Amino acid sequence: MGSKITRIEYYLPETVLTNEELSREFPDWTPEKIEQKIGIRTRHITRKDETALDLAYQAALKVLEGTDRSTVDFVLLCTQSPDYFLPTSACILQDKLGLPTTAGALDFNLGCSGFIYGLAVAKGLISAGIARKVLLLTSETYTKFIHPKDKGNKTIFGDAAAATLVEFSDREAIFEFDLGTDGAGMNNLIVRNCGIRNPIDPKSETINEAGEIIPSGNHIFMNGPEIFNFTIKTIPVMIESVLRKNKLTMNEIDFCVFHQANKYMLDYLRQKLKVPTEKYYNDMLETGNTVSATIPIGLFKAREKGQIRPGSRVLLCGFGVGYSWGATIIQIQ
Amino acid sequence: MKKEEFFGELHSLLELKSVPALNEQTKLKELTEYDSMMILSMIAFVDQFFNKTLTAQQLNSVNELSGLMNLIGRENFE
Repeated sequence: MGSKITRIEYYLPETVLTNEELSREFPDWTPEKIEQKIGIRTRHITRKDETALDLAYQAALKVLEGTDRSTVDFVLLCTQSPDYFLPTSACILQDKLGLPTTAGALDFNLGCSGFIYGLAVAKGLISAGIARKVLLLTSETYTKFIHPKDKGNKTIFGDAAAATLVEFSDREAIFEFDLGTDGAGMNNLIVRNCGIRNPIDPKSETINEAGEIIPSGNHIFMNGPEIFNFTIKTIPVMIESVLRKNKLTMNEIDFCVFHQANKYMLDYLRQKLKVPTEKYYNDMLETGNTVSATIPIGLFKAREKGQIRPGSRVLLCGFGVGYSWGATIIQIQ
Repeated sequence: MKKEEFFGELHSLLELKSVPALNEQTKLKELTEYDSMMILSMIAFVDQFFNKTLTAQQLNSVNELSGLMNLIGRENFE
């Protein structure tokens, strides 16, 4: 008895922000430099009236095409940009999608590790006999948190949603997990205001006289170098651990899909882990870093490109805000 | 690592075009290439060659390349 991923779809909002547009606004970075260093050419941005819930809805419509909706018995939504404090976005989606009222539904708040945690929870629900078909949605709109003058974050992040069906299976196809957390890193990737502890401060200054960004608290703040340090220290240890838990070596892994943070970081991780380029997904050219949606989008595209096929053993790994991280190994159906 | 090798490797990794070569007196923040990506590249370089973690704060305090070498530890250079 086990669980398996049976289908993945994703949805990108229509509005596109190109490197050329960014370069006009921030002339010290050419479109070519952005693409070469960060590996991004375009990113999709939500309209003002478009939310993570809307994106998740669109992705869910795609993944549920041809599926009897009455068979979906759990909705998991990973987002850090919910429509409301309450009610829960997953509950709203249950109704909008016409899923049975007997289905369970919950949101969970994680960023770039969210897909891995979603798989862990889905597997847990299925193996406990609580659910048989879980709709896992990972939907994020970080662009709504970015200050308009924040060149770095504006360059990296894009909005997207992915929808994944995780179902009961006679044979296990989602193997052992390795998860980790270190809340001591909370200040290195944070939107400080807008929650209950710190309300939005409308007077907060965000740009100094030299035109530099001063983290106001109203917008996303990312300490890139510290996130980089966290990643290169933590991820190799986690990869070793997840391989050990699954009694496998890297040679027995057919392909790796890691969270697509940025090309530079992924290249460095690959080199550190000694993974051959042909076994390593590194493509965020058209989407940017879409937070919890990067891994399922990567799986979808790797399948489309023929990099993975039924039977492939794929190592998945997510890491980021929290700090939070997780890895697992799946078998492609 | 030999100092000359260090200067060469770092110059190539940072893809510097504004200066033909690096030396201990090179003022890092005055390089036209100095930006957030260059900071990441320096962190990666030090991790790769010296297995040492430098924080953004430590790197921000560095002015000349000699300061970076001090952070890495003089015992690592010939």
